[in-house]
Amino acid sequence: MKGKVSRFEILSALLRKDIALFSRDLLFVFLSILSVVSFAVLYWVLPKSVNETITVGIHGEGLEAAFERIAGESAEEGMALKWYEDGETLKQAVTERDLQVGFDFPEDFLSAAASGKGTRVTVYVHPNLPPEIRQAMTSAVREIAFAISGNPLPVTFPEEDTIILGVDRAGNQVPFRDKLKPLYAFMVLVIEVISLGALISSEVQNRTLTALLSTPARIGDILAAKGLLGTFIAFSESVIVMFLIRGFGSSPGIVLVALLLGAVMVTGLAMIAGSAGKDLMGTMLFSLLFLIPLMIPAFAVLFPGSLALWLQYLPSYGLVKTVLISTTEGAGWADSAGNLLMLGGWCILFFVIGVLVLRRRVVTL
Amino acid sequence: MKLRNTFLILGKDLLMGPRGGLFLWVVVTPLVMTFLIKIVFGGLIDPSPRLGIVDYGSSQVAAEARDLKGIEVTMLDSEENLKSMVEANDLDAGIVLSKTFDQELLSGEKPVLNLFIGGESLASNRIVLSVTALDLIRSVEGKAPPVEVAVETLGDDPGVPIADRLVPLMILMAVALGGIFLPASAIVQERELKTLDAVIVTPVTVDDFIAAKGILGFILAFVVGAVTMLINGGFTAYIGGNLLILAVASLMCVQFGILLGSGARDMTTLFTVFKGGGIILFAPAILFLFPGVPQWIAKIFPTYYFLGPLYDLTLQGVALKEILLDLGIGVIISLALMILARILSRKMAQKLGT
Repeated sequence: MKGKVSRFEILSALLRKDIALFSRDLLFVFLSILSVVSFAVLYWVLPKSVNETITVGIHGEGLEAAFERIAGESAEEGMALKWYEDGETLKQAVTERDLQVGFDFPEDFLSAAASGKGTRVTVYVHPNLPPEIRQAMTSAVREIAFAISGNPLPVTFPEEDTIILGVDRAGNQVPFRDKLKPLYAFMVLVIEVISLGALISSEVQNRTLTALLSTPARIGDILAAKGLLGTFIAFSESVIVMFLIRGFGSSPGIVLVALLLGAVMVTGLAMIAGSAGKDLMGTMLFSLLFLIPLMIPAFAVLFPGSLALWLQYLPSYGLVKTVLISTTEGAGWADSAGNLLMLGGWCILFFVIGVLVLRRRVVTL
Repeated sequence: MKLRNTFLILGKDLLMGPRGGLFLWVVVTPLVMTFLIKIVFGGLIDPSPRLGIVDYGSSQVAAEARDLKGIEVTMLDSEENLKSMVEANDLDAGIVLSKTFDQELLSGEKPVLNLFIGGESLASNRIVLSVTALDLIRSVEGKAPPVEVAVETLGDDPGVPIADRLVPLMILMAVALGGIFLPASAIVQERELKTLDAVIVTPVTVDDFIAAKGILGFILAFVVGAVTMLINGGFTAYIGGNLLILAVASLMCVQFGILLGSGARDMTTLFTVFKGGGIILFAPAILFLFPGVPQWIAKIFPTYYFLGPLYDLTLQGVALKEILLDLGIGVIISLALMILARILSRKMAQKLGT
């Protein structure tokens, strides 16, 4: 018979037991792979660019030069102009939704507008064109007529370089699918909170944790094994998902650290939820109690604009922001340090609370 | 199978169920998700351009801007505030109107229009806001345009807005939780807690028990589905048609639930199946969000055969008779699943020793 066993051997044995339990469940393995693949597929089927162009068709003789002069750069950014030889073809293109808007200028438009004689332009739109675009396009036609008739703009503008504030992303917007990257990473971690919470809960209910205490394993070994296993599963799944959706950006190290901290944090949460719930449903409700507020930053970054201050204090904000800025803005360690530190702080807090709560639960069994 | 036994269990479940977390989960989750999805995705995919205005005088331009359709107008008190909001992408653009802006405009002095554009604003929004601002100024200037613009709307198909395309997803979520998750978890939970072993030593058979859980799932799926549909404005003139679709949806989901409940070893397995297999259920609803994706792909998935009719009837205004074929296929799939569920529940009964 072997003498005293080391803590490391006990920990390894506990980990091997849990991993064996997982891997024996082929369905679990298959479906874990399926969920990871599903996230990747969803990422790749979403549009890879942002459509920020209004497609406008124009029929009007001799107007190309005038448009080039008046529309200037906007014809390249924000408006795509297509020229048509007759009004009927233009009308058909709008009806068939090849165009969002059609401008049908009469043959005498140039001379009529220049002489100030009244003329009529038809703007074709389809029924679901947003009202602001409809309004802007009719305004654009009026402005063209003003310009041709020799009526300059009634205002003056400051220099162009003072007009654009912030990084000019026209034509280079961050696609929606890339804004979703932190949400994907977080969703994988969320799923693991529920799964690990359910596993802990079932071990508490079935008293297998108590049974383990009749072996040389101590509470600390069991907690360490659960912590390591939870972190490993959550971290590895999120890494695979991020790899499949090209989520590491230019600084893979930063994203990896953020995911690792996130995995430790959710493991702590899973320990709390698994210990607190009386059964699986209770565990799920506890998990949701934590997860709904934690998911807010991942959704909030999808909206344009700055985030409310209180959102920046939520535990998941550091993870979401780090993943977002390092994948879409190429942020480096210096830019991410603050977010990672905050995430690290929350991660330690949740993990310590999780360990204490689970320890208390095991002791009271 | 005795109907009396089934309804006895059903009565008990209906009486005791609302005290447990499972009911709360099934009823509250779809409503919370409806709210979240509508808030998040409703305004996210088709956002309106946002214009900020600082009016140091009392310009008519600012007054008219408040009535603009489709543009979110925010009045601000200082240029600094406006610039910081535009730079932070809290606004797409902003204009600053000086105290004497209108006077200078009317006297033909060409006042300076301080227009600020956010770097992150969409190019199309920049054009919309610039042209609209200019048009407002022209209208205050009072000069008649040398052209009359007639707007002609072509076609009568308004398309389906993104907020409406989300309706099938939300209804599926409601029906799936009640129809699949509730019976499946109830069966697995009672098996794990051994209460099922206790029940079957009475005259109640496994079939009675499963039928009760199935009926409970059907009722909840149908009711929560109808409430979700009501909240989302999904009920059309064909109320009977909508209810028929919900009935087929609930029927199919309940079969999935019984299959899952009878086949899953424990709650962990059940969860894993639900989490991993969820994409198969939800795929058609997700595909409806992207009209550019070929819609035949959705037909591969069983849930299409109630989601498709729902989409056509409520969002496309298709006549009831035109969706009956798909709905019929949905019923056939449900019946096939019922046979499969019966085989699995028989196996479960054998394991339980009945």
